[in-house]
Amino acid sequence: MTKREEIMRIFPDSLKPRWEHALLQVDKLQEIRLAIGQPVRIMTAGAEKFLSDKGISDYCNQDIWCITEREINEILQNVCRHSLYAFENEIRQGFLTVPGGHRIGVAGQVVLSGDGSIRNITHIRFMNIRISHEVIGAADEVMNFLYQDTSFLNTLIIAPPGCGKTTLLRDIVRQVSDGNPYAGGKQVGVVDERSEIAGSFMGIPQNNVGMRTDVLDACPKIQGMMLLMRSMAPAVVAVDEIGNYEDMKALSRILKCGSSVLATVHGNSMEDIYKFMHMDKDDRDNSRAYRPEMIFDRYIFLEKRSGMCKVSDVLDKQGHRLKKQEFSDRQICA
Amino acid sequence: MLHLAGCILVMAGCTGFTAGICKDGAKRLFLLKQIRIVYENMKYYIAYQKAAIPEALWRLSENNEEPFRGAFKKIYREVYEEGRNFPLTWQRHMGEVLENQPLTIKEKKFVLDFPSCLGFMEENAQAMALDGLLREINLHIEELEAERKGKNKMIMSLGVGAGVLLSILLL
Repeated sequence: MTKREEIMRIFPDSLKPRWEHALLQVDKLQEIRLAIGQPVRIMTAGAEKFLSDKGISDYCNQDIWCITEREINEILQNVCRHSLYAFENEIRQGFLTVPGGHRIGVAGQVVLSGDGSIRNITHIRFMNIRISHEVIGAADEVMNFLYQDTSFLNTLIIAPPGCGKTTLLRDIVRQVSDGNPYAGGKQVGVVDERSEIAGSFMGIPQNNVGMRTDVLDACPKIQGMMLLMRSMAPAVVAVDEIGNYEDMKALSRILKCGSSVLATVHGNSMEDIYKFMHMDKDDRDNSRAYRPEMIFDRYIFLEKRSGMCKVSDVLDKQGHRLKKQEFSDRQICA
Repeated sequence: MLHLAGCILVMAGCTGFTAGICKDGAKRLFLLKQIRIVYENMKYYIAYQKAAIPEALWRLSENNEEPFRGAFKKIYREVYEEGRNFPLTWQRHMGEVLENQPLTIKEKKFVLDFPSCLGFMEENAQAMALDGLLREINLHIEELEAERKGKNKMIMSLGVGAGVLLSILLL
């Protein structure tokens, strides 16, 4: 199935003719944003376009299609296969994954339970359809830095949002799992809390994450990592967006079990990482064991320049730079 | 001799006609019980397995006999694999299945109206909505069963009686 066909399947039969024509006109589609009573916006690489009766328009004029409540409900029902209850957990988390690994973010009225946690989202009025961009080979240029002999080194990918962290992580997972010029294939366990790495739909990965990869979909990171260790005995555990001291403790426990770790984190520099990881530190005496330098052997930094995501640096455990010049021209994703 | 043979044929014809009516009633009851089983299983798939409707239909197609088996598979393929609209696909395929079945309009609606009870965000609420439909079917089956015993005897007696009467008239 082509990406266009995957996107078309998001929309109900009644809206398909409208989108069929529009999608033919769009190149490098990144997002489709829908809000009741507002113009349908299509985000392409570096530009915002609108959907009108005549097709795609660069300007918000009178012909623009404003989506109605009925249409949003139809899209939601179609995405959930008229089984909203089956997607209750996903809706509660604010997103749904559809075949192809595309994610549909939803917003509306939040229903709280007695303890103040989010019970569900009703009256869904806003949708953000994010098109999945799997880039096979995105990690080619960094793979040689991630092994010592044939052992995978504990690696942390650091970048601000939108710089291709998950794309790079996914391709590293694929290459570690399938094998690459530097080592044979290893068993990989992925804890995919937000269904972004494997883009699983009904438990089936929609992105290529390798033949030796087990995916625990929509599971909280900390519980998921230990669950995978107990049940699937992975050689490498991969998680996306670690963000606090508890995550570091869990990664440390994985290392004690003899597996390697691969993770991503939001940030621009090593200073950011220290700041985030020790944000809610409550155990100062034992905290040293959970510091990034005690866990990771490699740090990969990404940056976005002129709309292109690139590897800017690879550092070793001591913070020494590893051949920066090699990364100057290669692009991870747009 | 010919008169006698004619009388026997007329009586056999009338009895056969009424037996056919009784058989239709039995088939109607059998189909309604099959529909009840489908909904009961569906309730299980919704409440305990949290399966989406197309997925539940696929599993049901493996446990059910015709006439529903083929239709469930078609609905699954069209909704799950081709992304078609579920209510319309359900009504089209189930409408075709029920077209030649001896069910009344009210009984056919038990099946065709199924998509209208969907749309709940929680599995137990969705299963309870299906319970409403099940209650109606159960009540209808009980009514049919109660009236069927007496009705069958009456129809058969009428058939035989009509055969005798027709024979006398023809003689």
